[in-house]
Amino acid sequence: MKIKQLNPAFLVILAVAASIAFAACDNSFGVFHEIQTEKAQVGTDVFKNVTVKALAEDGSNYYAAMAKVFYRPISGDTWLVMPVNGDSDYYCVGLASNGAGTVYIATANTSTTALKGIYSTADSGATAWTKMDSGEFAAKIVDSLFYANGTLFAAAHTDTEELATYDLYYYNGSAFVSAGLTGLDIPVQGLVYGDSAYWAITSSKLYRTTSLGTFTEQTASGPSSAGKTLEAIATDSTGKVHVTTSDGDLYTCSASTWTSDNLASSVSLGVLAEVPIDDAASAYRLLVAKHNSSYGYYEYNATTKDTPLSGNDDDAIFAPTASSYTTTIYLKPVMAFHYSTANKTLLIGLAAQSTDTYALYSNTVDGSTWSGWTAE
Amino acid sequence: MKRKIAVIGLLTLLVALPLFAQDGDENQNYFGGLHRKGSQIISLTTGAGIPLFILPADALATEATPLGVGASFSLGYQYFVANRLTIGGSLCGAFNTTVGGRTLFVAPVAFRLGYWWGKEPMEYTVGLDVGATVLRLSGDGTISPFAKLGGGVFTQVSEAWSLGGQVFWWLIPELHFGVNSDLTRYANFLEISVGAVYHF
Repeated sequence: MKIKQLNPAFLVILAVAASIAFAACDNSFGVFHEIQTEKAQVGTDVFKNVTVKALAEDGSNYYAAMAKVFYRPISGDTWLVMPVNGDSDYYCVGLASNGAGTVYIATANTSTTALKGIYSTADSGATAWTKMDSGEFAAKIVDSLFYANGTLFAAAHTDTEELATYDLYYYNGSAFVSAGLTGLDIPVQGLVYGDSAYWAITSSKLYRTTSLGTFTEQTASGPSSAGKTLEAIATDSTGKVHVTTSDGDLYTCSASTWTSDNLASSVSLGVLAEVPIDDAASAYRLLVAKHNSSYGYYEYNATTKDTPLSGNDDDAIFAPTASSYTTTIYLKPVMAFHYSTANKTLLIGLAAQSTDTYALYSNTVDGSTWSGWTAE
Repeated sequence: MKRKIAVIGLLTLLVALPLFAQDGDENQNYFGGLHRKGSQIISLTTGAGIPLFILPADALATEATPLGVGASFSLGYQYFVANRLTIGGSLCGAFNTTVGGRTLFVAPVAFRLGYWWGKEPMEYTVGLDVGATVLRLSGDGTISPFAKLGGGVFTQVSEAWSLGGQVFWWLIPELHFGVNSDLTRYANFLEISVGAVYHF
């Protein structure tokens, strides 16, 4: 067999094709640079392949809600299951804190889903519990807890096989009473206090009140008036209210006026939180959970309204190296953020199922330098 | 580092030793005609991909060995353009896990220049591959130049087939330009593999 002489035109085409291939590459992504800066993540086994759905703090301990609530002393590193009122055989349906030393946990029977109780504790060792409910939820399933403006709220639905309806309660100091949202066909998925009012969202509606006991659907302006699918709600340090949508919009209410920014088209946004960029809180960024080709979050400057940065962007603030983000958060839905002002630590709760990685990471700031994400 | 250099030196020596084992009579035989001009070879190998080092070091690096030992495989074709001298190509693949739990995938396509000699039943080869490789990590990636240099030792088990092993040094210069030129890295791997060679 003889090899034919190569046609010079073929070689030219080959060279051009190779040049195009090289030129088409993302010149800003350094594969081996990423690998060099990776850090081994060795966290607590209990956080592997699970979902951390809520985070809280009482000044002495951090709390992470999964099927049960786990806690660790802020000064320690060992996470333990939290017995609630002496009971460790429960399913956690709600976790909230007031940010000033009190933690609220709603527990349910692991087999019947019936509420065991909504408990509070102001004891840093969490040994002294106060049961707050007294039969209000006998025919209801409690779904979640919210804390806003000094008031604890409980979202619940009717215990029926079909056509369940959803209600919102608040604790008036002696019992849980209706907050003014009853008989909804979809659940309340977020509640905050900002811009001098309480705000609650379902996936399609936004409600507001200045006096608990009644809520009014906001149809004149804002995200629900635009027919958006609402994902999450939060407030910031200036009292503004922010709502994320499934099509990449961030709605902001300030002085009763709603404005909107499209953070990214065709990207579903999720939970959000405002976090200072340094330990002096000289400025803030909104961390906004996202779902496009991956998960993770955007860093968004709500003041300048610059294009949001992906968590592994070269200019990202909270991940000192891109690999700090891509090896920890990149592929997992973000469920919760919690920033501890006292301890300058940011916690992130994730849905880590089937990734063989962890669902809880922390990140601490010293001056203006963030440590990067480390498995808890 | 000294240990690595010593291991690499020893392996290089082992690969080069057969160069001194040529037999004068065999030179005219060209391994039963299998290394004569016009002959062809298809080779298939599989083995380990051992990460050696990445240059330059990264100031933000915290782990001494961010890559684990992985697996590699290759499929090659060579044509004897002269007695003992071949040109051809190879298609390779390699996987290495990272310390952060990710997987690096390397898929080089290269032209090969090879030299074969031996005395039945042992045959030896040295070769140089030059081409390009796809690099993929967490869904992101790039295309980089690629080269590998090394050799192998095979024993003839039938008229057409030989079995043996080979050692190749992989060099992957990941080049970046302009404002991203600081991302340029030179990654070095060692491939140690077993394989089969088919002569026709």
